[in-house]
Amino acid sequence: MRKTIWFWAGTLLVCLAALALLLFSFPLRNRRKQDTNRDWIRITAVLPHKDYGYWSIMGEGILAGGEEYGADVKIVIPRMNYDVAQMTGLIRQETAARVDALIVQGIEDKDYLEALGKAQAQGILIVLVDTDVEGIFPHLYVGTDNYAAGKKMGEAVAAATGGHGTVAVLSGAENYPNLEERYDGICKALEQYPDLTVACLEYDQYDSLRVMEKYQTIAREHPEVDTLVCIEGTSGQTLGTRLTGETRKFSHILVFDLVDETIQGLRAGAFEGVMEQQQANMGRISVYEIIRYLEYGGKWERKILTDVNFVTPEDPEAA
Amino acid sequence: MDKERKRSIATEYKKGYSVILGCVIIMFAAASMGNWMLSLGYGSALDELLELNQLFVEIETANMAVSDAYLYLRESSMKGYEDERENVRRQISVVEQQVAREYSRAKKDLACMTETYLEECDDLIALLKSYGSQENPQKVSDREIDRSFRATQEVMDYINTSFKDIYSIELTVSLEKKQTMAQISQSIGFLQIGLLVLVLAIYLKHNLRIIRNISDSLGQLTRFVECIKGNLYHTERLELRSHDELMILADTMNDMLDIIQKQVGQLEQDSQIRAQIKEMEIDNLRLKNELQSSQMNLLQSRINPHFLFNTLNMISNSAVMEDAEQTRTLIDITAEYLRYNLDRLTKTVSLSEEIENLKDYIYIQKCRFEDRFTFAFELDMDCGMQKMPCMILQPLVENALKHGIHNMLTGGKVTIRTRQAPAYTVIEIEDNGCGFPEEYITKIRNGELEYEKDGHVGIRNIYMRLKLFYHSEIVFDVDSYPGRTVLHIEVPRQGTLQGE
Repeated sequence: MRKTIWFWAGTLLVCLAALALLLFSFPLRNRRKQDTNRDWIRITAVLPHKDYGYWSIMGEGILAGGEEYGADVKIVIPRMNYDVAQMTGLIRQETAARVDALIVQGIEDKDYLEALGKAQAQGILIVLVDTDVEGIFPHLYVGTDNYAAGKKMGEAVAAATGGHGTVAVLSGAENYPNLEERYDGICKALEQYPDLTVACLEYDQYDSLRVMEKYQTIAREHPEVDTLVCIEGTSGQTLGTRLTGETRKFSHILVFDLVDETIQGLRAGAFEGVMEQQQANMGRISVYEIIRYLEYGGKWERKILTDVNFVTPEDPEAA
Repeated sequence: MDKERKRSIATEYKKGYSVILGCVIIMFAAASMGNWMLSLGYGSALDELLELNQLFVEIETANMAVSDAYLYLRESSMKGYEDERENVRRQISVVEQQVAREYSRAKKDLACMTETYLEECDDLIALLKSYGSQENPQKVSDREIDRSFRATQEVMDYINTSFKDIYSIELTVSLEKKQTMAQISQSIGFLQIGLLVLVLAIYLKHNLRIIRNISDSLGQLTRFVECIKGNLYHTERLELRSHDELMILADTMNDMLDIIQKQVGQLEQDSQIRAQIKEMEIDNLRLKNELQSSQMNLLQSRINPHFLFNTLNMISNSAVMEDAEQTRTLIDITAEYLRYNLDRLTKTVSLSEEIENLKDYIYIQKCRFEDRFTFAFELDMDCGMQKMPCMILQPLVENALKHGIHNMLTGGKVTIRTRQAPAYTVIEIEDNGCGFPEEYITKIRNGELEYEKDGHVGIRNIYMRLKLFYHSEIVFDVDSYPGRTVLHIEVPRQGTLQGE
């Protein structure tokens, strides 16, 4: 009897292998069919550029929100950084595609806002992230409370310098509301410290080459400046990979946005601290609010402000 | 038996063939199914691309009609667009079905863009129709028519871009699918080869097992037959566990061997019995012959016994007249001795009668040899009535005188001893003579005594007569060495007598 066990076991094995062969072929037909019958909510985020920093983290947050809350999220980026015309075209394209919602940065551009208005008129939900635009069509804003962030940065400068010194501010672009709010916040905070003065305000246009150029210019033309405050992300990213505690030309450098490069600057002693925004959370909140509104309704036109956190080399985020 | 038939050698082979056939069928069915699914995969991907392409063609055709209508305000072009619009809508529903089967964001966007495009085109065509109408030609401005046309072309650009993206995605997916299919196809091929090897291995193993079983069984059968050939009484039996025809053959051989051994045993037993019967018949014939010979001798000795006794009586009277008392006594005892021999020789006598006759004989011998020999009797009176053949003791005592103490000038002694045991009577004749030769003792103990050729009724004669008389085994033994010879006889007790 025992001698025949292997015989039947082998036969069974052949049958199982044949079955496996059949099953092996099935995934070809069934692949990617999950959730096919679901009525997907289509969301498109038109982001200004892929900076491997602030906006990239924002994009990751939007995608994570899509995964988390069950929406089909697509991120589109213009070929040129901050090319508003291309971004407008992308908005129109997505409007023609009749998506359910658009997540975009608020930019004060006529065509840009007109395209968004047309989309909104077609019933597409508009979410402005990072930067808000006042007085336009109904929309949701999700972004940092920039004025509060600026004040916090001012307090950090005062703490770093002991209330004595000269400050230079490096911003992104002129008349950019967010950055102006941050700058105003800083100035407001520094009013309490009479021995702390702002010597100059420069703009890097979100360009790394321009950042280094402005860095050298400030050092050369304003030798009295001992503290540099970068209130937009590109400057912090640029300086974080190039400076150390020994090579920096200013006694104190404080920057915005906690990304890999600024963490590197923190570890190298180039920065006193980094102001961390919750850009990933902004993306996630945007997706959540869209789904909540489409499923449950309620008030759409709102402002959701996220907090900031000042990270020093001693904090766990820098480790 | 049915079960054994089911497991016959032919069935085992059939089982092997059936299983390999079944496995091959299953394997090829599975492989065919797999290939069919692969083909479906290829076909499905290609169909989807073709359907998308058809949508693109329809949109291009519609757009050409729209452009034509815009540029030349041809009503046929407007009508052509309206016809083509239905084709586009049909094709959109095909793409929507694709999305329903397998969700794709790009296709969904494309379908929606196409809908937007059609709406823009509808608006444009409506404007163009109003523009060309005779009733209200001023209602629609050129600028408005231009703006509407640009809007259609803008959406058309988006559609083209979307098509390009979808083609790119689909081709990438198709490439991945193709690579996956190629891998699966390769894996299926390996699996098929593996299965084929496995099936062949199973089949070969199965056949080897059958052949080995047959070979083992035949080997055991051959060895068993060799053993039987050398020893018909081989006790071990052949035990096969193959559960096939050879096991049945082995069981049959075992049964056959049992029958043969039983029959041979019976034949040998019969042969032994026949040999015993024949031996007994020969013994009987010999005893009869001896008895007849003895009786002849007796008859010869009885020739004119009256004359002998009358003569002895006359001599006795003469001895009385001559005052020879001893002579008269000797003659009387001799006469008594002879009378006993002649009258009782063929009759059953008691042990006491034999003793009395023996005493007459001893008296005569004493007269002859005076004090040269002495005789002693140690008799158990309880066995005096023991029945026995006549003339047993006297020849034995005569034998002791003749062969034992005959040559002794003085001191020769013969002792006659009887004793009663619960089941038998013991008689012993002992002398202190020279003893029996060794070979003679051996012959007595092995029952190989021969008839004495000098005509004297010797020890063998006595042994055969006792055996014949008692119809059972008697003890007849001799213990002899120079200076002492004891002839020991044990006969069944009186109660078992059957000879009278």
